[in-house]
Amino acid sequence: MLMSFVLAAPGFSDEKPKSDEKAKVTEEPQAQIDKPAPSFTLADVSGTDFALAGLKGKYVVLEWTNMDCPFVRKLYDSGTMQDLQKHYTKEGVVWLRVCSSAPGMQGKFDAAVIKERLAKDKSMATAYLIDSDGTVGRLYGAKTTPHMFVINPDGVIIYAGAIDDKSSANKDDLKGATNYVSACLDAAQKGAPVAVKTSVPYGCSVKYAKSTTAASSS
Amino acid sequence: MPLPDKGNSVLAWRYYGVSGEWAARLAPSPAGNYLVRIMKMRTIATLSFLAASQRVAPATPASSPGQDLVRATLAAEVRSIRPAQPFWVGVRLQMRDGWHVNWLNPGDAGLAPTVEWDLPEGFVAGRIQWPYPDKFVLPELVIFGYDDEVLLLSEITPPQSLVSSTPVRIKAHVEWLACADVCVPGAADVELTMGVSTAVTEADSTWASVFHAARMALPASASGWGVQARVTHDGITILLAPPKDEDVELKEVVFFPDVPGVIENAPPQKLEHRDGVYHLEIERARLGAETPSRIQGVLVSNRGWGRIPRKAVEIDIEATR
Repeated sequence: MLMSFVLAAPGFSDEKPKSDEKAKVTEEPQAQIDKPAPSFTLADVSGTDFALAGLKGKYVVLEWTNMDCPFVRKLYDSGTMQDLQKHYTKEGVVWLRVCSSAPGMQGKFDAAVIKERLAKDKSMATAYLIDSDGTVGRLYGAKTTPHMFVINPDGVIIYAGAIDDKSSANKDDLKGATNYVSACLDAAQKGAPVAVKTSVPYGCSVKYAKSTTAASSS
Repeated sequence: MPLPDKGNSVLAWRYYGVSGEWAARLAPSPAGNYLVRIMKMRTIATLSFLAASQRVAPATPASSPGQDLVRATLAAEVRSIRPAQPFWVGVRLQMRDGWHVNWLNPGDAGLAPTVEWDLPEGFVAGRIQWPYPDKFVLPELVIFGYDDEVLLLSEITPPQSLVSSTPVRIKAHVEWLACADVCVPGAADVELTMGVSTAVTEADSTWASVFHAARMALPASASGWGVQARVTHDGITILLAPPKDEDVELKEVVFFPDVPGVIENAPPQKLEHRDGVYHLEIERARLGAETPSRIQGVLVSNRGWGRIPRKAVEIDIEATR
């Protein structure tokens, strides 16, 4: 099929594709599946620093979050996220929520409000990390809330993407959904291969600062 | 735009919960005879509502406040229908200023609107036809969608056994995610009642311009153009050869894939012209998307495609390494 197409359209040349020469965005996300998770240190809501490097030897879950996003609300109002957090932190998994909402954007709250909301939701995450300038969000290429990453005890990313396989803001859709994070952790902890290492994340957009140089629309 | 009285055909809408300026225009919808008056509205091109003796009781109060951000209505191109004669309807979404809903592929975040038809026995609705989307650039992210308004088209085919004495109700449950700085889910039930006629179906001119605009925005087939796609480790190049007998120039072209996870949506797509062929360079999705074997989606050219009278063409081609 390709050959007949080439004969019919002699305008196409045989030159090497230009992709090697393309311009790179200045801050390109560094997170890659099966590669070391990019290092970072972020303070939690109480001001305590969490350094990813210090968590080697444990499974780490990164959960990009925004407590007012309808997709995040779906998971917390149903108790689904808290159940996951409780179950896996009991097994020694470190569960870190990361909020990259910029000042003035949805999801950015004062420490006192965060603590109130965490208590109200009965969040069972290990910590709630504050990434107001979006550095770590951009480092990981976090696009949505939620956006999930699972890092194994060797510090390698073994899952990145959606929380589950049903992109919806509707609580009813949680029932039949396959949770990618629990599937990943359950397999990896047993030494079994992770079936789904990556999926398209869904949710609200991460609320990065508007003054950042955004990609121009082409 | 003055509009005629509508006679037999009727448009009715109600939604979960009522708020804001649209509350005042919520129309009562009786089960029996109808009168339709059409009025111009300040902020929306047309509004149609029913005048009748009783008010529709609103459905359960809104659990989400999305209803004053998007107004959903059901429009049809005909006033009456005939057995086995397909006709076009459209779910019209009108967004409040500053708000958008998503395209089939929402882009980096969001959710495409969904339409669940509730049709009488024997009726079949065709797949939704999506007008080409706009890009909404956010910090670090790009969303594909529509602001102002969009008409999602579907062709409905009635059964041969259609009885002419009873009017038919075409209904749909529509859900969407409306976003500006924040996102708010919304839903509405929309419906349309149409008479059945054995005579030639009458066109309904009320929505003619809305349907026309939507049709012009549907992706056309790229007839006459040579389209090829090459995939490398980190990029996709779409090659476009214009029809040989045409002197057509492309200045800005954007590729919108049908599904997320194929390309990086935020980086600009570079268009170059070399030896009579246009090369559109696109960055592949960074996080582990498998190498695509086919490239499927919509190409939008701000200058159109020469003889093809549309801004958008659809492509579905094999990707070569």
